[in-house]
Amino acid sequence: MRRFDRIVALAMLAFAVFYGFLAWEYPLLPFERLMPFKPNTLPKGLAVAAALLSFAVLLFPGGGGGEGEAKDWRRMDWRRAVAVFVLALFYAATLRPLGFVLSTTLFLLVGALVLGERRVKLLATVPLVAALASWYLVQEMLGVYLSPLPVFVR
Amino acid sequence: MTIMDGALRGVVDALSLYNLLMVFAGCAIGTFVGMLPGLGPMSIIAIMIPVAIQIGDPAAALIMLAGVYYGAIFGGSTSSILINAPGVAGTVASSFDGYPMARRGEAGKALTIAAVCSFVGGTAGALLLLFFAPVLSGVAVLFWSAEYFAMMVLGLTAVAAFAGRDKLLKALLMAVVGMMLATIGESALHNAPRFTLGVADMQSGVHFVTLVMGLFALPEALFLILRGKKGEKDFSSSSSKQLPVIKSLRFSKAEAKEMAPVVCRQSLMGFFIGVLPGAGATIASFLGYAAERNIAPPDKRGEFGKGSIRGLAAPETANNAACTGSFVPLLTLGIPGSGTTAILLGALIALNVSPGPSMMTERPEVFWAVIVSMYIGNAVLLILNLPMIPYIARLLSVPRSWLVPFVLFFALTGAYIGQNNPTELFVMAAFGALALVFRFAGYPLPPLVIGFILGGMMEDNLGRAIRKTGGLDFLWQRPMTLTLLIIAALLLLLPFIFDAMAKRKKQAADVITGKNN
Repeated sequence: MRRFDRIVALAMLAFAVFYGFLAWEYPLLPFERLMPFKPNTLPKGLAVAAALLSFAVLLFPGGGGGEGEAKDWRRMDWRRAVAVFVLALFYAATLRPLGFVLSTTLFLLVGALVLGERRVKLLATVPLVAALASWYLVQEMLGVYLSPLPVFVR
Repeated sequence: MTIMDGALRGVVDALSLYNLLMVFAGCAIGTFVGMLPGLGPMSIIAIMIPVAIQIGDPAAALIMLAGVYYGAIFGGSTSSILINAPGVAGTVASSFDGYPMARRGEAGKALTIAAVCSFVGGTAGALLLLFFAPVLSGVAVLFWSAEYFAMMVLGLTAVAAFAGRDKLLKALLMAVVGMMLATIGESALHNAPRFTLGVADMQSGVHFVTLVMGLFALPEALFLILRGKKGEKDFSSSSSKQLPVIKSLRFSKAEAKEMAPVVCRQSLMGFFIGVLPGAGATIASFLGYAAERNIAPPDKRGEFGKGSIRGLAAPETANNAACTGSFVPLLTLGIPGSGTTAILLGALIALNVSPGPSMMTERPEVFWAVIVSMYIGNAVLLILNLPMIPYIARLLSVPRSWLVPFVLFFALTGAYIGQNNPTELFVMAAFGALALVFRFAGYPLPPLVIGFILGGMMEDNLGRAIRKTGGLDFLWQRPMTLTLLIIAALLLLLPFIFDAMAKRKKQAADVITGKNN
């Protein structure tokens, strides 16, 4: 994983350079140019610090590498993890058009199915009950409005 | 207001039915979620922040979040002892002796020892907090923006230093990246938006809850999947191994006598380690374990790692005392000493409370109620956990096929309800993917959160100091600022000193082993 450390450090260096470019190019107003502490003073310092530190990590990545799990990343269940991650993105995209209850029920149902749950009774009840209960808790008890129904039913 | 007056006021506030309910709810939620392997206190508190914000009353919200923190640490001990799968890093050391005890049929006794030691450690910590917090607040009142800036630099370097020599540079880099993220959007000093790239949704900057959910809750859920074996068909099996049978919950008088000095020492040691920025429950528990093993009589030392009562009592006391200790810099200086307290600070800021030396005088109802609620929280944990242990332990058999979607659902809903904007969920997913990359590459994430939280405040204080003096002269002209910055610089050398000491110790041990052979 040491090489991976360095790849990340390189990406951070690129980010620092990009951030630094934006900091130096920041359009200061005429009165701001006379101020001892400008809106881009700290960002400039941060860009330099980030660039120096990522360069230092690039040269001296140190031991430790990733976490314990990182050592056997090839044996990890990436297929399911990516599927669930995509499902989370799908949930984000459907939350408004499908409404809270339907999108949440689908998210929990498909999530449990992807992860191997096959008990029909549980699959039929848990997601729907959880979606309804959480909608009630959030809207009625916490007072945050969440549209429960899909756009085409509202 | 004297300490006594404040404590009395705190007792009255904390004992209100509403606040008692908050303590109870926080401890129960924390215990439940903390027990689930893989979910740390940072993820749990992050998930609870939207609820805390909706509660509205800062005292009640912080009381609940503190209860969640304590509960999570205790819940983590339960899974450490019963299935050798620590729910939180601060309870890893508890599994060294707790799990062997459970395997030899003393699971109930081990859990009782954990509950009692957590109670004593937490209560002693709360007592020390009651006296130390006002004293430190009194000193901190003398601070000016230059000292605040230096104090924040000290906090950030301490967090990086405690990451260890191997990760020092990475931790510093993460802290700087956190500060860079904090500069996105409008700042307190400057009204014009910065680094938004013309995107309207970025005008208000990166939202704290979205960032924390993305950095902690989302990757934790994904790691729960990743840790499952590749090709495993039935993922719905329990996340736990076979649970040991819980028989008697009692320990003998002789065992209590043996534990007493350990608990006293570790209450003090744990608290003071918790006060240090960067050190926290995890470091306190490991140091407590190592210290007790080193000072134990030779016949008892051999029991460590095989089910020693001292070996279980030490980390359990130290981690809870350290949790309380970590509230000292948070409440008195407004500087978080750990990732968890950084998240708590973020929650307080969202609730319009600015922790710091003036909090004791400006918001006494919050300050004192939180301190007193810690005693109550520890008592609730004991009352809640001791009789419920056999039942709580059954929760360990929640299948991952349900656990993961629910963790993700809570995280996504938490990020959504804060802003009522689905874009937040995509931002959160992006942070989640980044956090996964950072974790695989060994970049620690708590410094990033602390950098993000302190970034805005640092810019504010640095700006005020520079405007007042017209330059950077304040760095060396003010003795207190200079002292704090020198300490910060020295802290960066700490990992190298520890490393050299460990090497010397190893060399000495090798020489002795060589002579014996």
